[in-house]
Amino acid sequence: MRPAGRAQNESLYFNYPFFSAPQGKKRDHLTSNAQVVIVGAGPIGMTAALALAREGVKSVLFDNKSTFNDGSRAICVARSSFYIFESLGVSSAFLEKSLGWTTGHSFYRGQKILEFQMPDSSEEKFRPMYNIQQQYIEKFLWDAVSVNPLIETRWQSEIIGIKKKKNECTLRIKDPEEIYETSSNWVLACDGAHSSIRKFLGHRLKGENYEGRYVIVDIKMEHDYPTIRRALFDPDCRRGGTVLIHKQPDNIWRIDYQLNDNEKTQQALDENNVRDSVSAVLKDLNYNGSWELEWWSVYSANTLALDDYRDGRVFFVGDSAHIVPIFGVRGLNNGFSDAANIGWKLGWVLNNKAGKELLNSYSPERRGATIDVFYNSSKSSKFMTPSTYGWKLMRDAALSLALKHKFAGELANPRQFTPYKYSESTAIIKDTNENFLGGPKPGELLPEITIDAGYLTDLLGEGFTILCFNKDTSKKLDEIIPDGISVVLIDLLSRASKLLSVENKSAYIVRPDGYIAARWKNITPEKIIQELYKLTFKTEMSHDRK
Amino acid sequence: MTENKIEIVYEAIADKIDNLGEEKAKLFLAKLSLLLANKIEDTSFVLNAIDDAALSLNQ
Ligand SMILES: Cc1cc2nc3c(=O)[nH]c(=O)nc-3n(C[C@H](O)[C@H](O)[C@H](O)COP(=O)(O)OP(=O)(O)OC[C@H]3O[C@@H](n4cnc5c(N)ncnc54)[C@H](O)[C@@H]3O)c2cc1C
Repeated sequence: MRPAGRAQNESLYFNYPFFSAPQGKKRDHLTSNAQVVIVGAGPIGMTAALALAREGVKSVLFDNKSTFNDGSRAICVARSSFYIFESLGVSSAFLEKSLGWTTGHSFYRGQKILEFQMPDSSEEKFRPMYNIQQQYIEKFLWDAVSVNPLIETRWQSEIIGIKKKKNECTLRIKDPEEIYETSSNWVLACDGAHSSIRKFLGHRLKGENYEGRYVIVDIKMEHDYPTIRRALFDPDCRRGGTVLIHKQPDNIWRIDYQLNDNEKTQQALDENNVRDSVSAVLKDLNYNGSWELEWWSVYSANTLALDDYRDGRVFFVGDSAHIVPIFGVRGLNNGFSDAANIGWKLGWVLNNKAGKELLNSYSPERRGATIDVFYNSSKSSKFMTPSTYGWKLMRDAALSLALKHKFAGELANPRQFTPYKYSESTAIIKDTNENFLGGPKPGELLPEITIDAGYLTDLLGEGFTILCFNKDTSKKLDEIIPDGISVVLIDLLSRASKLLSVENKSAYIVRPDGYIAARWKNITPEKIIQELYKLTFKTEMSHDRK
Repeated sequence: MTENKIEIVYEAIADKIDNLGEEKAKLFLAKLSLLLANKIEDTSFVLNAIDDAALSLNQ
């Protein structure tokens, strides 16, 4: 919502573009079959379109709006998402605008009880977290989508029906001029929390609704606190409640405050009440300067997901598949990983570089990640907004102890974001018996470390990458390697090799999304290629040679 | 702990609860449990104690 007198998209710092529906010549081919249709040009739909385009796959992107999402919504973008932006060639715009951060401060009744640091070091290419408004996220993605010749976007075009057929889906579309039908071999439903594709196909999100409701408010003020996440427990301005404060670019500040049980949502959203609540928070922060109200909304802590993120030729991606609480800051980040995951997999299958079975791994991998988020964020939710007597008593006991005892303050550490591991996926090969003594396992993200003048991940190719550690293996691999696979030779004496815990004849295979697909302590080049066929669900015969 | 020592603790807790009053007693006891539990390495010992303490309260 916006203050009285301002239109829905009248922001203090952001100019919303206006997108018209397809016009003139662009309408000639509206009903032609599309290989991939993406429903929803929110952050996730655009990311999915870019991920497919990276594999050379065309898509048609539909959105029922004429501009970006209103208000800033998600603001915390995690390190893992920056790797995705980088692979899509959009990271520089994000790095330039966003504010990286590593530190959080928690206060109990005005006294600092905890300073936490998220894992970071000079070995890391990206900071653990960046703050940036969702409008900018959408703008930077759109800047890339709009110039990509493989992506056709149709704004003001709503999907009003979908029919599944054997080898394709038929979609019904309504735009300002007409209603038409088009068919598509694959559909990515990126149409958000209220997904209509989900409803049309008769699926329901399942899970829990938590009690905690937060009002999220963006204000503009010149406040000189650094980019540090502040959590205020039981502050003067909200006895019994919790307040979160985040800095965003352009002097915009996010204030999230918890509503207590007696506060009616509708009343709490009244502009005067929002202004009063914000003033009280600012008083607690000792901020006496002026401020302007930008936008506000209400958000509650749900953990809801589909049982299966796939229905035949339709994949659910982003909020259409899952809704998670805000404390874990994973709603959007989780969606980016979904989009990158289905993007490379569908791309590889459509390019005939991988068998269709690869697609079966999308739902288990990404649903697993969501369940992991549920577990972690329901833990934080129960701390941030305890809804039962016992949890509230123990939370208050911990906070009260934390004033003097460090161990109790650690209970307030949100421990945000360690990327999920695909350890049980069919799209990796688990460690065999001759086990490594250390190093990252299959299903984990390749860890970062500096090497030569750059970072380990800089060495990865666009497709699968084989990391090997002696010249002979690398030479032999270069001779027999199929298309789309890169071979990288790493000095056995380097720190990277130590991190990976490798020997002379060891090898790692890294997937296009940066996850480790397999590793061996001792393996021949020929055997590596065979294993690669397993990972792409291909038989050697059908795999194209260079 | 010998009988004499536990008696000292018993009395100190009872006195503290009386000083704080009924309303604050619960929070005080919760804090005390966390503080003591943090000193004990053996988590299963603490978890058993939690169950033990609840015995005969549930009926
Ligand atoms: C008010 C609010 C506050 C939030 N605050 C936070 C926060 O603080 N932190 C956080 O991490 N996350 C937050 N979120 C969640 C975050 O914004 C989402 O996770 C993110 O937007 C998900 O992106 P998406 O692309 O999956 O879905 P959306 O951004 O919802 O995009 C879906 C798109 O599909 C379009 N669409 C829908 N149906 C159709 C149809 N039938 N035909 C054509 N197009 C269609 C919609 O117009 C929309 O553009 C918030 C969300 C809301 C609504």
